[in-house]
Formats: sequence, C-alpha cells, structure tokens
Amino acid sequence: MSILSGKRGALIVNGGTLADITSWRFTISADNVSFASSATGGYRRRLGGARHGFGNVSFVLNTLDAATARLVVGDAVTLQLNLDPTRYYYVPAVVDSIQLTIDVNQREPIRGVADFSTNGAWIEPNFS
Amino acid sequence: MPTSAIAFEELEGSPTIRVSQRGTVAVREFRCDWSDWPALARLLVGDFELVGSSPTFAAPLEFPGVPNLVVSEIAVEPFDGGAPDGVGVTTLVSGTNRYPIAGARVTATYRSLFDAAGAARGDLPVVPDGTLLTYEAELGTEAQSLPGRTWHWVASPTNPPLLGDQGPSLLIPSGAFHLTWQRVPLPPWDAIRQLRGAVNDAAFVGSPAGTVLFLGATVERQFPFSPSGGFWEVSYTFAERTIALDGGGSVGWNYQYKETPVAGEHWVAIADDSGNPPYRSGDFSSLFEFGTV
Repeated sequence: MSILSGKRGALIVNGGTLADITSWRFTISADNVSFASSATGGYRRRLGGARHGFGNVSFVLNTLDAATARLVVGDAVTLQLNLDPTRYYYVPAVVDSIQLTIDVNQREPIRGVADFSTNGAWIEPNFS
Repeated sequence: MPTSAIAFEELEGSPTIRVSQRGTVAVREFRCDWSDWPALARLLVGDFELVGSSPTFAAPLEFPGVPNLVVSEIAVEPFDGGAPDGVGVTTLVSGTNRYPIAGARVTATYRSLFDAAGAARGDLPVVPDGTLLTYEAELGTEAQSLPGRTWHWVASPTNPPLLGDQGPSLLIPSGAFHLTWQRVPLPPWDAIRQLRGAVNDAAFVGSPAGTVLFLGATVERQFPFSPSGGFWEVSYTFAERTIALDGGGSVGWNYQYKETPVAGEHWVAIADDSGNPPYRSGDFSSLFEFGTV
C-alpha cells in the first residue's frame, strides 16, 4: 500500500456527493471496560466494549449543490467517507450539528462544519 | 449438577463483610463467562439430583475463613451492560441478550444460617449433610385454675381453707421453639402428617420425654431456579411444657394437677378408660430424614 494523498477525498451523503468539502474527520472508539481481579496479578485488564464513532466535514457552501441540503440536523444519513475512489468508510450516521461561518469583513466564501455521530455498524475500507 | 470446573475470578473490591449482633453478612463479586453463570450459581447455593430415589447433594459453599456463612442470595448482571449480543432475541421467549466478551458479574451474598456442627447447642437433631438446621425459641405460658378447696390460708393457728370461689390460678411457664431445616430436597411429608399432635417419646432438644408437642410445619420453596426443582425450607414448631416434680424429674403434656397428691405429687399422669393418654408419643427423628420420591 502506498501513501495516500487527501486530494482525492470525498464525502457522499445519501448517494449524492457533497461538492465543495475542504476536509473530513472520522474518529472511531470503543467503550472498553477495565478491571482488576484475583486473576490479574496486580494489573488491570481491559475488555473491548461497544464501538462508536464521530466526525465532522468542513465545506464551502454551494447553493447549487443538492447534497448540501441533505445535511439536516437530527436527520439519519448514510455517509460515504472516501479516502480515494476505491477506499471509503460507509457510515450510517446522525447529523449532530451544523455550523456556518460568514466573514463579512474579509468577504471569504461562506464555510460550514457539520458534525455527525455513527448510528450502528459501519463498513471500513479494505487496505489490502 | 455441574461436574466440570467453572472459570471465574473474584473482582476488585470483593469481599465485603459486616458483622453484627444477629449475625454476619458477607458479599463476594465474581466474573465468569455469561454461559457459565447458572452453573456457578448452583455451585454456590448447593444443588442435588436424584439418583434413583436418593438425592445426591452438593452442599452450599461456605465463606472461606469465616464459619457459619453460606450463600443465601445470588445476583447476576452483565459485566459490561453496554455491549450486548442480541442475536438470540428474536421473540420474547427465544432468548435474552448475551455478553460473550465481558461475561457476567455474579454477586453472592452470604449470611449466618446455622450453628456449625451444633456447637452453640449440642442437642439439636442431626440432619443430613448438605442441609442446615437453625434453632429459635420464644416464651409461652399456660394458666391452670385450681379449686379453692385444695388450698388453705397460711394463718395459724387455724389455717382456714379457701372458699370455693377463691380458687387460685397457676401460671405454668412454657416455651415454643422452631427448628428450621433448610436446603431440603425431599421433605418427609408422611412423617410430618403422622407426628403432628404427638409428644416426644424420648429426650428431644434437651427436654425429657413427653414434654415437647409437635404442632406442625410451615414449608416454603428455596432456590427453585435449579433444574432439579430446588429445595424446601421446612420450619417445625414445637410447644414445650415442662413441669418440675417435687421429687425430681419433669413431666409434660400428659399430666394434670390432682387435688389430692399421689406419693406427694400433685402432677399426675392421666389416661382414658383404654389407658390412652391425651397425647400419643412419637419418634421425632423421622422429621429430620428425607422423604421418599
């Protein structure tokens, strides 16, 4: 496997590609349980718990992009987080929040950040 | 009955022990595979299986290092409730959540339930190994009215007799005690029925023959979760009437007060025309033997 560049990253929301994304982030974790007992010899053991994830996508607002409209707070969506066209996370998620930033003074493009959390099991990319 | 070893570990913070005037309570927490919790619970509380018509026991496990403590309660919960495996839950009766990764937390509560080998009271009946016997007693009294003509005033020189309507009442102290037999797989139902209303034909719990009346039994299920059906708690109640004779010894239920003493004793045995006393006698030892299937 070679080192991948982020330039080919993409985000697909319910089948539609979000046109002007600048970055996406996806964090996966597990609620592991730690304990000590008569069998752990003075150390703590850890057992794998339920898995969950969260992330966000940063984008430039494009009113002609229908996919942007699919980001509605509270909605259940299916996100395809592309590392490249063939490697992606396929993530059932719920949109937690959307933040828009409008810089009147600098006249920058309107930017947004959408936060999401996983909603059940997701599919991970195949790196083989 | 579990025959293979069950893997378990005792968790941090366990055990806890509380000692009080009325007994000791201890709690231990274990972790085991989710599928092993029923077998672990049966090991802790004891179990039995019938081999033919004879029960084969696994006695309840005692708390290590502290005498007279046996498991009285088991609580089971997921060790990590946040990671259930619900594959088997397709209907309300098809199965429950399982926890294959973290397993089960099994909490065993131990309580004082018996006097070890009768040490505190050496005259209790002997019960089969694996079962437990506790003793509890309470007070009782019996009032007996006596005719006044039997008595006189201690007022010399005439010592006049009491009038007919001046009969004194004699308060006879008595007692009741309960023997609670626990973890019984087969109560002796026939013996309970046959001996109800009988008095002891030999010394029983320190009381002479004829002084202990068997009133009956209250029965309650114990640990019915076991595949064998669990155990019974059989609580026997006895009434004790012990009257000391002036010449020594004690008599009980088949004696009444006679105005005119016999050989110096007012308390004399009574019988009907066939020679039968009011209360028949019986061997109470069969109350502490297993019944039959």
